[in-house]
Amino acid sequence: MRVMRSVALSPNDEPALVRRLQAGDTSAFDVIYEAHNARLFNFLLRLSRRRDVAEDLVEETWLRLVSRCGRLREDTQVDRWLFTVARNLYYSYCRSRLVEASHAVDLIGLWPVPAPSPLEETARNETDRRLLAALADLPAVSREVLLLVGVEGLTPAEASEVCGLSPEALRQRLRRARVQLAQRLDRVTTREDVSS
Amino acid sequence: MMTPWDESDLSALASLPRAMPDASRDARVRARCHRTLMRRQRARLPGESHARARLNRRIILEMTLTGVVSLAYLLTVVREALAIFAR
Repeated sequence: MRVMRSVALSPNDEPALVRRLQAGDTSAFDVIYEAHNARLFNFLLRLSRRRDVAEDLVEETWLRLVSRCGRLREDTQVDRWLFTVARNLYYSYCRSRLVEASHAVDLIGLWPVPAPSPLEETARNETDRRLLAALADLPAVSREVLLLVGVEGLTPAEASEVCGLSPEALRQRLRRARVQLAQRLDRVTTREDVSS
Repeated sequence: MMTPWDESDLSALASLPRAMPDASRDARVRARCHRTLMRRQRARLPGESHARARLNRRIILEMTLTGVVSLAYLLTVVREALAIFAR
């Protein structure tokens, strides 16, 4: 598996890139793609916990960008737009599958224990591995806010736009998600201590 | 029980390892997006818009012609009907 960092893009560059993209400039697309593809893929991989689903949704997100770029305003923040589309596509996917795996585990308790995700396999140390396992165990609504704010570095106000919530509602959700993550992490640590 | 991760510390999440999609998949996504953008670029070319304008003119002309013929036919029918009732 390739592991890499994305190229940072200055917010001042974005209006010009959006204009070039609207004119059909493929090099502008490449710049945006390089800057945001890794973030988008990791967000969807951690949200869906499935590599094939994440890859399909990332592809669909980029295709939406190029087919609908004519509707973008010059002041559109491309990363927020991409995360919003990716998130909506993920929830549409969940609706189409009717059940989300985490709920199925809680409801019937018969779901097979998921195999370690590709990210868990590449975890550099024990702490990372435990953190990824705890994160994967959270409900999707809690996971998404932690991913947007903690991993992708969006401010709570920006993340609230992506999630379609008021900033206050997002702050509450973030607070709850942090507590849940700490509890899950505690559980993972206890389980591993008992088994070792 | 204490955890190795502080509940208020989100920075631990930011340093988690990142992954990328397969290179072949990456190339496919770029190629599909480039094709879409090239189509968009072609649609904006002046030659293309002249062709579209010609097509639009032809459609309008055909619709006008059809309208005139239909109206003439309708008028003839009305005139015949009035002539019959007038007798």
